[in-house]
Amino acid sequence: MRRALIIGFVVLLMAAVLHAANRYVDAAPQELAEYYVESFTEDTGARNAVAAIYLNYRIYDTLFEALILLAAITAMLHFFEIGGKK
Amino acid sequence: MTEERSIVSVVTGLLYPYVVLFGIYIIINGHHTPGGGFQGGAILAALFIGRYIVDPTNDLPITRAHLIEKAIFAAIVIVPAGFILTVAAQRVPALHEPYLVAMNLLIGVKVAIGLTIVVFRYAFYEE
Amino acid sequence: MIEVILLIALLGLSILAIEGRIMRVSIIYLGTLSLLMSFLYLFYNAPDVAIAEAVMASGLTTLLFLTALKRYRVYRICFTNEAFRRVNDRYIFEGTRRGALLHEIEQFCIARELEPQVVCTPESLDVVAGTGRYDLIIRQEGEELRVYGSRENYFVDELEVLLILRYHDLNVRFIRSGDETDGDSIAEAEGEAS
Repeated sequence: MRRALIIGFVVLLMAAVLHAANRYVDAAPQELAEYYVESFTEDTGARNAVAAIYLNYRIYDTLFEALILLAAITAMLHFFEIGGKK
Repeated sequence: MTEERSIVSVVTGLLYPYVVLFGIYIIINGHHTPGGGFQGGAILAALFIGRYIVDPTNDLPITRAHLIEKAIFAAIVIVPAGFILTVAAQRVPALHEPYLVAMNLLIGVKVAIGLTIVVFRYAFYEE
Repeated sequence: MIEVILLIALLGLSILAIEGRIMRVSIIYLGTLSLLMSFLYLFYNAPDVAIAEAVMASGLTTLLFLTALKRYRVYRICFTNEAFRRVNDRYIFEGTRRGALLHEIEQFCIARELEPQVVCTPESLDVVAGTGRYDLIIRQEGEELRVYGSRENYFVDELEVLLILRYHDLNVRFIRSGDETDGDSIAEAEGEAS
């Protein structure tokens, strides 16, 4: 019974997500994407567009991602020091 | 049990240098081919954790490794702040490629150290 | 076409990983699932994401789960016999056939990376089961041995086969209860068995 309820819930959720994804319109303007794809090599000197975007156009994303990893590890070390034994 | 372990450890020992080279290749060449600092660093971390599975000896100085990671994060903030976010990026286009390689290297080392610390801390200290 | 086959295989593998009873096998299914998913990302022209998926999900997560499994787990076994007034470990362990059985169970635990912890007591089954602390309870009643274990635990399945094959002369009976070996579920299983 519980299993059937969970399966029903998951199927419903999946239908909702698929419906929302179908209605979703690409939010970023098309010109921006075209600009990135056309001119990333002369802008940044990279031949891999992904590297060009995460190290140049969207550098703040990379910075805060690195910060999140550092914060997570610092927090883990801090909290384990209390209860953990050497 | 010991038989299985010795087979696994021999194979891991054979693969070890090649996987290290592959991880470094993915980091260094991240701006030309698919890959980059995060993926290469994760490969290096997976290698260190796999070595723990084969031979569980605790030889990672966690406090020092964490200190190194903090220093690398400082570098990750300082390098773009001194290059991409200033006028230097437009003035000296020749520096773009060294900048990408340096950033990929820094991110790769940071991710490798961070993930290895997490697993080693979990495996040896938490009780 | 290959895309559709991959998607269906992903669905099948995820169901196998959830429904599997052996942890290690489920972990390997998850690793295979991530590997197939990284192939799928290649079909969608996203090699960067494919590398990240292959390394993180297929390599690191699998290794992390295996590390978690590798750590010691304590397996508590309680041997109870109400006929003893004073329990003496030597009486139980040395020389007798039952001692051999307990040793066998201990070796069995160690081979599966569990740490066995055997407790011998003259308390009654109700008291022992009431604490809810034991994963396996062995009770001697006259010449009959009764083993109480959880129904969900695949480890007890293997133990049952082993004991019935090698110790059938000891009159071993297995009684499997619900999720836990606590007082209520054991009383329930006892009722079903008799």
